[in-house]
Amino acid sequence: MLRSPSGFKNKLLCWLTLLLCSLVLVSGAGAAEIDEQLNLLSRNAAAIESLYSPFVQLKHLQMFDEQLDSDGIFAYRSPDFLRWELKTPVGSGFVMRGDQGERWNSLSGETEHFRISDDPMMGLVSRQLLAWARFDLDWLKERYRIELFSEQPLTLRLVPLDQGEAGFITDIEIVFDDQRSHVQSLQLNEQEGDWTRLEFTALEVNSVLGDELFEVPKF
Amino acid sequence: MRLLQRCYDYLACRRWLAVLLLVVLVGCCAGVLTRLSVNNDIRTLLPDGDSQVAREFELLGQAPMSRKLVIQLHADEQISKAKLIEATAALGRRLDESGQIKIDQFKQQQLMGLLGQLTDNLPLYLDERDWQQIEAQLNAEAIDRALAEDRLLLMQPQGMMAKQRIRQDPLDFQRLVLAKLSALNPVPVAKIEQGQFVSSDGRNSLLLGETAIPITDVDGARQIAELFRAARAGLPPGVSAELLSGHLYTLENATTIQRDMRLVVSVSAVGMLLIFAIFLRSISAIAVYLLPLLALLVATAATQLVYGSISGITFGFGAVLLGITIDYGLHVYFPLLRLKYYRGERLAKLARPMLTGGVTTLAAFGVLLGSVLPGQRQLAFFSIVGIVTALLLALCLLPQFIRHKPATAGRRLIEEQDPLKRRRRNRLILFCWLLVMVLAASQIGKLRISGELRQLSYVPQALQSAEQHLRDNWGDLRSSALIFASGASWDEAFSRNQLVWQQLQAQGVADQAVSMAPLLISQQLQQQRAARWAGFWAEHGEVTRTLLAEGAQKYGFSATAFSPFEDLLLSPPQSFDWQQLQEAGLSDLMVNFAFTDGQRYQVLSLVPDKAELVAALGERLKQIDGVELVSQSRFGDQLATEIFHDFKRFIGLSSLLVVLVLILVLRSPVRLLLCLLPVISGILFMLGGMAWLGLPINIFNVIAAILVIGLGVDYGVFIVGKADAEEDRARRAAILVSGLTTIAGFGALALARHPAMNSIGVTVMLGIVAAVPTAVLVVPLFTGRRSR
Repeated sequence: MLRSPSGFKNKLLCWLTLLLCSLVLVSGAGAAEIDEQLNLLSRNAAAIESLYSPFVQLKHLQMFDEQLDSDGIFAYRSPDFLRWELKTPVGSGFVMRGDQGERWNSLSGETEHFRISDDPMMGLVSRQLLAWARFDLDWLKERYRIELFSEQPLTLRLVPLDQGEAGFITDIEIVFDDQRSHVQSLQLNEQEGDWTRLEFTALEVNSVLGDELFEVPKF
Repeated sequence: MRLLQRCYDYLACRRWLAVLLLVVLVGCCAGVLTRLSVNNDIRTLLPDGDSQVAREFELLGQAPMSRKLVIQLHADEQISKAKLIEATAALGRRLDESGQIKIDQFKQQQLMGLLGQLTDNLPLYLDERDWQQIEAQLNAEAIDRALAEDRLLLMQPQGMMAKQRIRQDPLDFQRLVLAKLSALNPVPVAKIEQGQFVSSDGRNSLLLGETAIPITDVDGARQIAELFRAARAGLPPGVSAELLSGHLYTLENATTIQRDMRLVVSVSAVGMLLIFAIFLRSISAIAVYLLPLLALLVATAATQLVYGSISGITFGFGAVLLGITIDYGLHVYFPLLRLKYYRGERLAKLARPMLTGGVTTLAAFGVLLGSVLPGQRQLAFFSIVGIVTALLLALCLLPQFIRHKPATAGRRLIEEQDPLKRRRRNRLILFCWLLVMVLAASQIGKLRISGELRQLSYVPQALQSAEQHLRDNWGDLRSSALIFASGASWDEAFSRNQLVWQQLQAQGVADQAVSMAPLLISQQLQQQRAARWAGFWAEHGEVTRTLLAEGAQKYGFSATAFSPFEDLLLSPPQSFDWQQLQEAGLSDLMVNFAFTDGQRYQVLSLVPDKAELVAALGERLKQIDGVELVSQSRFGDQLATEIFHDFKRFIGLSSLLVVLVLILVLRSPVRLLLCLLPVISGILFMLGGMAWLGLPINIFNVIAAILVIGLGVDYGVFIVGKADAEEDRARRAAILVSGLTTIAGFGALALARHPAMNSIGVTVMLGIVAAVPTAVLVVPLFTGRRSR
């Protein structure tokens, strides 16, 4: 035979219900806030035709005894032109034009043509870079669980949903500028404690970027 | 011969008995034909038994591309490659949804499975060439360079994904095994982009599919064609698609044969009616027309009884062939038509040339019983039964149904002329005949022999252009030479396939080949390679570790950065088996290249079907047990050789038998020569005409040639036989009308679009067109009968 709950239990149940409701309300407010921020970022990014910025890259890998510091430039031109170049310590990088591109390496002095379809690794990298540059919200939402990390400066935390990507990356932290129009810095946290931090400096938005910028440099 | 006379006289008083005999005959045949079973296996046209051609045909049927549905898409210039790939995938999905067609998917999962298999078992995939490269790489300079590049890669965005690989394989040995992947691409000239085969210019793509519907199923083929048309309708503007599959050839051939048969039957019927209206014009002639039908009925029933089933080719060709038996009816009809009395005696007199003609025709067809082609043997049996039936019916029963009619068509045809005119005309006839024969003889040197079975099929313009597009864009996908490595187990088959791969490498064609050899390695070879790995690193491991440590220090790598690599050098590689390959998700990739019937295990490799390559490889591969090279072009040549061999043998043997029979019957060299003149003229004109028209000798022409021999000799026997003027006119009328009926029957086939039917029609028509005028006009010039 069932017994009726005691007064203490009743109170506990009420408190628990209240706690649950408030959590739901708080999280709902959080979700609404993220959506608002994401939509704002997406609207701002829609006006971007080109981006050009020098960057500093800090890499902490357990494979190395020391941190690997380098600097380079990043360029994007709508719709799908990219340049990623390391200037120091060794010149190297790649350019993308649509679904194909070239990468170079001043160490070997070699240039190599590639297609995204033939090189899944380059496909994933270029797709990521384009998504950040264009702030491709649909693609990002499909690939990551997006959390609001802080409001000032606006910092998002992205956790990969794809199992393959999750095998490499635990999360990505993205810090936006004050106007929330573009990415100021980005940190990729990898499995086993490795991380890579990129800081974009002297960013130029919608400056004219010629075709030569998306060509392989001459050695 | 007296027996025939007595038979005629006996039945003349009891015509009801003749009718009863016919009814019983038809009834018995109809009873047998209720169990009629027709098969359409093309193998009846290929040598059977243990012949090399039969064996190679069997193996050719296992070519993966010959069984595939190949769909090629083409994009106009304004269409981007991405859009083409999207359209290709969408078309593949629509076809898949039909449930009748399964499109091959080259999934990312398969690629990852393949990469995983290769990298996880790296030590077992390294061959001698790889070891040479590795050894050359084990020096301070090369290792320094490799580590510098590893460091640089790790600083790039893509470095994150390369990290594990670099830890395990800092010197990038993996590149050596990944280079072997190209040999696994079933379309070597294609790139695989987003799981689709795409040409390098991005304008063409390819889908490969399968269906459970057999290639010989006409209704199923129609269904496939309709499914494809419906799926193609959904393509975006600017993208077109073509289907190539054995089913379409079956459908086109069946449709063409049906259309041709309607045309041939209509034209033949009109021709026969015209012959009836001009030359016969008698109710009795209907009995003559029914004779071939009865012969066909009896021959079909007898073949069904003896063989258990009848080949569609035997039935189709035999039915046309037995059309010639109307000749026996005509040879009886014309002489008896004019006689009211002494018909029995005339019949007895007719029997000698008719039986001689019949025996020579039977001898000619009898030779075919020794053919290596089962279809030809069955056809020989069918024809012999039909000819014997027709001969017996013509001599025993038909005369009872021929009513007396005083005036004949033959009489009107051959009018008496004054001697001067006749001499001039005779000279003109002789001159024209000689001229035609010399011209025909001069052409024979150009005659070709073809073993190409495809040339006997009807290939419409649309399919020809689709074949051309396929060749232009993707190479000779559907006609690669096949190399089968067989064994009593997978392991034995893999071992032999490795030997094949070594030969392909030695010949410098490994990069053009499609082979599973880099992936499928026997247990024995795995053990050898594992031992090689252990031995090599026992010798070079210490030096390598030292050089690696020095380089690592220089570039700032931690002391443990490459511990997985060092562990790999020390640990013995684990072997893998067939089951593990299947579990790695590679079964779809291998299904067309590794197969078994439970007793024999086979691995298939493909190489370009180039004559020189096939010849060179063929010689080397012969030395490996259990390995066979099959080439479509070489198969065609072998078949052509066999056909030519058969052609010579049959023509020679038929001619010899015919001559022997005639020597026994005629006993005069001059009459023998005259008797053979129509057949010699017919064969000469037939071969010369074929050469002039560019028609090659093929499987069907052999039978056509024998038919011309049989008919030509009949004409000769009748025209040379002793006869008075009245009989002579009747015989010539019979020969003329016989020739015309043959031309109406076979000549109509020349109008067919189907190459095999057309080839038979043209060949027989050429032979008869020369044999009949020679018999009717030329031979009498030498017998002196005209001047009588």
